[in-house]
Amino acid sequence: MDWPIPFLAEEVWLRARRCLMIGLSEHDLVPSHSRYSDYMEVQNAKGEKLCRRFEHFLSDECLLHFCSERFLGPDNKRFSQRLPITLAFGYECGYLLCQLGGGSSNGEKIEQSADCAALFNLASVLFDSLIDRAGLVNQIQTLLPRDRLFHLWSEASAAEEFLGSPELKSPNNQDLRVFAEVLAAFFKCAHCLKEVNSATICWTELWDALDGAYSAQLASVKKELTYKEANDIGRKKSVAPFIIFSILSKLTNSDIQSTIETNLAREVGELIAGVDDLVDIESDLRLGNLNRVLPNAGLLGQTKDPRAILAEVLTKNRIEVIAKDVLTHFEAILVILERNPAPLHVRNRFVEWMSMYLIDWLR
Amino acid sequence: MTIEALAPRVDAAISRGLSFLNTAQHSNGFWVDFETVPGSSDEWVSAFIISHIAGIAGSEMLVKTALSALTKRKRSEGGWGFNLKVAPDCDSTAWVLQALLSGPFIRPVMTRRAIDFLYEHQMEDGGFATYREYSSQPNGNTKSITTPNGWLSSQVCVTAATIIALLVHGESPKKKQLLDAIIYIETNRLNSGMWSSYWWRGDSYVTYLATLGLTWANRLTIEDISGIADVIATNLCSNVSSSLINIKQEIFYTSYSLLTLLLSPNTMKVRSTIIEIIRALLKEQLPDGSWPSAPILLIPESQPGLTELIADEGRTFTTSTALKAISQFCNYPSKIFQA
Repeated sequence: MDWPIPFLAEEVWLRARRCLMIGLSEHDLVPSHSRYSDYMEVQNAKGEKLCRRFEHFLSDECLLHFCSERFLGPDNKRFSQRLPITLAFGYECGYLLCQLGGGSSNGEKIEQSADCAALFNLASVLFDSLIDRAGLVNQIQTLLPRDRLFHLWSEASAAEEFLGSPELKSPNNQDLRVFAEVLAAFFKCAHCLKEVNSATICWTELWDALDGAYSAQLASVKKELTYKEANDIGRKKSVAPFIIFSILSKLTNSDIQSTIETNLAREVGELIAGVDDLVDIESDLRLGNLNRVLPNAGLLGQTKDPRAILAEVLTKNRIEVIAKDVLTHFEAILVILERNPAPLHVRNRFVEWMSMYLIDWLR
Repeated sequence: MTIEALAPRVDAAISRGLSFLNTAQHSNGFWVDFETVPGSSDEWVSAFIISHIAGIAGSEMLVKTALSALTKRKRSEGGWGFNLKVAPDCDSTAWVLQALLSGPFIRPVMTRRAIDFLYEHQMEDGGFATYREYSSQPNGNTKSITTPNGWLSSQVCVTAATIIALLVHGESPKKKQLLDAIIYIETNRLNSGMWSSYWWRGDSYVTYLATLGLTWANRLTIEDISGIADVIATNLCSNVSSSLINIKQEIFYTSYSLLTLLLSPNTMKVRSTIIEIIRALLKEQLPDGSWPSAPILLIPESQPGLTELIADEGRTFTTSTALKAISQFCNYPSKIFQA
């Protein structure tokens, strides 16, 4: 395929979106434009409220940086514009998982769990941005070695101690400071949930999931990975936040045996892993990021030229394979929801949430 | 007036400003301003306005309509220009690239070719020139532009806008070409700590862009940025009569000073200057929601030996700049300024 690179990139971009849209249409999951706009407007408003509420979790010094155009460098505009949606996404997912899990009927506790999910989602997006774009992987590892993460999980008082870390003292490490304060807020919030349900098994599950998410994030920046390793890491990285959301929902629930939310969360994570890969093929290729659609994902830019990689993506139907995988997960989610005892309107609300955000990512 | 009392007035000012831009937007999606010999600008002006208002709640439809119009105007070379009668240029294309970031469904071929187009304007000194020596005309003919040297040589204001456009599209500041441009900006810094501009009167427009670009490229520390903010605050405070009372003549530049101050509102002096500027901007907003224009754009050597100074008579350019500055102020919780 001897096309110029921009044309190959264009075809990859179009094909990925076309495959997903056709698949979603077949399941009647593509909303009308007005329904989509109305839904996202409500989500945006929810996110704005969360922004105002979460401001109180940040110190004045941190807020000064967080609110400025300096924060996250060239990612600032994209991040700022997406911040309400980033928070609303985590909140809504956390909230719906609580309801689907037959969790607490105490609205306050459900909201606490949803807040926690929103904070985790924000911390996760920041972590991604700091290691992918800002290249701060070493600073993050120094600030947050695995044993410090464990300490944050195991001790309610560790969050304050963490914020006193010497790595956060430098005035030129303010991006890290914001990440640390958001993470500390998440742990404080999670420890409050632990007080609701002191079931050790759930709390231990949370550690396993956090540890898994942390390892997958760090592994994803390694440059020399086999395709299988890249594939595994990509999936783990995407699935982990949803497993964490489901565990947070369980913490509001006295029925800790329920595995429904965990299975559902895993399928949602798998689906989002695929969608992420499909919508970001071109930028991941350009920036050297992990992407399962790209051959030799871990060795990008070293083994093949971009033209050869894009040509292989097109000729070997790699987009179609991942798109099919995405739809398989969507179907699995629908099956799990069918068996879920929650009221129909709650289950429908979950499907609506998922399809609306999928369309949002495609845009 | 307390900070709390300021908040609803600021929200109302933003809403009225957007309403003005809504009325000013032409039916083809463009904003048109700055009347010059080859006509008024639509492409460059619209790209600039989108880049300044995108992200402000209520601007979504304006941005979407203008972006749609702009994407249809891409020239075969991959860039955009002042208007359709003029060859595409680096500065207009840099603003379009920034604008594209705000829109959905931006296809990669468009950004890739625009990025390549920008690099074609890089000169040996690392800076970016507004025009290339040979630029094709809209009718497809390629001919040498008989333009002044300054139009064809590196300029700090063009280079700073280009650096920002490249960075937001994921170009690494360590990439040789981008690094050369960054060094060009650093080399051309004045003793005062500011930068001067070829196309603009005053230094606040270029100083904001240069400061932001260097900050994003990790070339300025927080102390450096605070130092720049301090100089601006001192200049504004030391001559209140010329800066704040005569703000009507200076909305565009004052808004850019405000944006630079908001990069680092770390000291009381900077914070109180910010509040003063906000109050002044609110006071100067016209009943139709716009802010008054003034001669701001320089056209050096428009005729041999002559530099023209022109205003955005339609007030769209200045209004979008004031809107960006005010909405950036709104990003901060009021408690920051109460302290």
